[in-house]
Amino acid sequence: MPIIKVIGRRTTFRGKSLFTLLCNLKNFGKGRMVVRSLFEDRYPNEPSYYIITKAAPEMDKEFDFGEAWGSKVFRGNALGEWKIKAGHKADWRLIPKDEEHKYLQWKPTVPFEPKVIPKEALFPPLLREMIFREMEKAGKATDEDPKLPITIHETVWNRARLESNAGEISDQTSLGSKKHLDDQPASP
Amino acid sequence: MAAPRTRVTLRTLSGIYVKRYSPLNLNHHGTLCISAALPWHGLQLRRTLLSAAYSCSDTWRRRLDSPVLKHVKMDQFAIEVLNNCSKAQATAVDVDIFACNVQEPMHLTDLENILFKFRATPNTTDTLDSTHYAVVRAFLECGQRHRLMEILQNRLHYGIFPDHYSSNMLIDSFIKDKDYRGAAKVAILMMLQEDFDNVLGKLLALYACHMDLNHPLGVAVPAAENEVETPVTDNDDEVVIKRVHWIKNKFFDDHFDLVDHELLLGKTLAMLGGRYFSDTLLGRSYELIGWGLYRKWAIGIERLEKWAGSGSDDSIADEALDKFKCSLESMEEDKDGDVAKSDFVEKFERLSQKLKSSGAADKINLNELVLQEADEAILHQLEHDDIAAQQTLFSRCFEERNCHEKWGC
Repeated sequence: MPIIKVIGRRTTFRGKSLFTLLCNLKNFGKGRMVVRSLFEDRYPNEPSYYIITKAAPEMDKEFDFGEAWGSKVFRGNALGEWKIKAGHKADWRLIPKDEEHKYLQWKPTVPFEPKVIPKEALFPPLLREMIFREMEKAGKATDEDPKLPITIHETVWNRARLESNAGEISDQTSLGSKKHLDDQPASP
Repeated sequence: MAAPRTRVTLRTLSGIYVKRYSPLNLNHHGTLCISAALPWHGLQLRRTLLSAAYSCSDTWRRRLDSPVLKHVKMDQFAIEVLNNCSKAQATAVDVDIFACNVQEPMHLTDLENILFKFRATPNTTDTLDSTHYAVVRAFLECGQRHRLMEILQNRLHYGIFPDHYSSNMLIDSFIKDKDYRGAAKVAILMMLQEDFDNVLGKLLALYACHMDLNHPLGVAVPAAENEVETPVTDNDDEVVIKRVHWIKNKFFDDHFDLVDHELLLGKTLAMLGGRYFSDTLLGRSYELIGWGLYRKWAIGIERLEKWAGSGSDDSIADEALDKFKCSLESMEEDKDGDVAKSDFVEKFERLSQKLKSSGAADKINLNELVLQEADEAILHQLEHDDIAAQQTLFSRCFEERNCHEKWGC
């Protein structure tokens, strides 16, 4: 038997591909809870999991590819039914039924305090100088430092909020209200 | 004690079903049960657990009168379905029709091939519920249980998951023939799906695991049953480079990756005792035995601490403590995590003494307790709901199959 040497890119994933787990379960794991080890390590105090609602694996040889949908909870925030795009990553773990309550009944021990970003910031030094010179040329010389208005890309993965919007942050369900263009909730 | 008369449904050679009151201990296949000739020990021998009515043979046989199944020429149909599988065009209904129509052992090979090939197509997600039941039933009725077990254990490539009723029949058939290892393997399949919700199922599973534990096979089963010894060849020094996009890291999930029978049996007992018979002496005892067999001594010790806690009335069988101690003694000397073997042994001795001195360690015989729980009379009473549910399942699946066949839905 010849020695097989596998060459490829390395990952830090710890788990199985999603479809390897789902193909071992009846009804393709409908109703079961799966988690990604990456998010368990990165956010140890906030549960992130999917409860599978539907799966359609391609049944390739390695059980890597296919489509799956699940009720997504990310960092303790319920986001509804989403299509799972990372099923091919070998990072998934099945949660035993007697441990699901730890995820489902999680309550934050500390109130959520988002990072508040000021709505304006100073320009970098070189750009500041260039702006001053342009303003002088245009006859609008001023001693006041020009300010750069800040725009925050508010998504599920970025919970920072602008200073002016700080009053809207207390309700965590608003986190899902502004979605990035690439985010794909399940189609109705 | 004389063997009781049994009401059985016999299938004669001409295929006629007759009901007889038999003085002999005949099972529903009409063959003599070996245990009928043996004296009743009263403690360990058991003829059957489920009655002949559980299999709903008459109703199941009536499926063959359906116009969908009646006119199917099995050999030709098998070739068609296999060809469609190769082109990824086979439908779940075709597979279901074939599975439901199997009556001869010679069709089982075709059924196995169809299941294997169909599983490799994306249409496998549409597999009907009745297919799983029909496959188990077909292999059972043709007497090919061991082939069936190979199929059930290869979930990835066959995708057959027995439902509650077919699991119960399968366990019962193994128990009837005193193949407790086989019966325990069915219980292990239920554990892997974490599905002991059926009341009969959990009692049968507990009985099967208990009997397997107390009737170990004479030959030790190797731990890695799926390792194949590769022969030495001339090109052993050759290095073959396999290029992949991403290297998969090895990961042991401690569930589907378990192969050692003792570990699987231990996990099954721990699950049954801890979740489905919790707050009972039987449940606690088997949970502890299970954790010992599963080699999770830390969890076993933690449970003992909880039961021995002040203000707790939780009792446990002495026998369970002895079995856990035996398992603990087989632990290797090196550390399990941060805890050394001596620490586990010391904690166990302390907790065991505490339980015994407080009177919480019961000298009850676990075998008698299991037989009391899985008493035939109790099981026969619980059968009624399952029999009614099976009748409903048959009619629902029949309608579903007709609808699919008619409308292609």
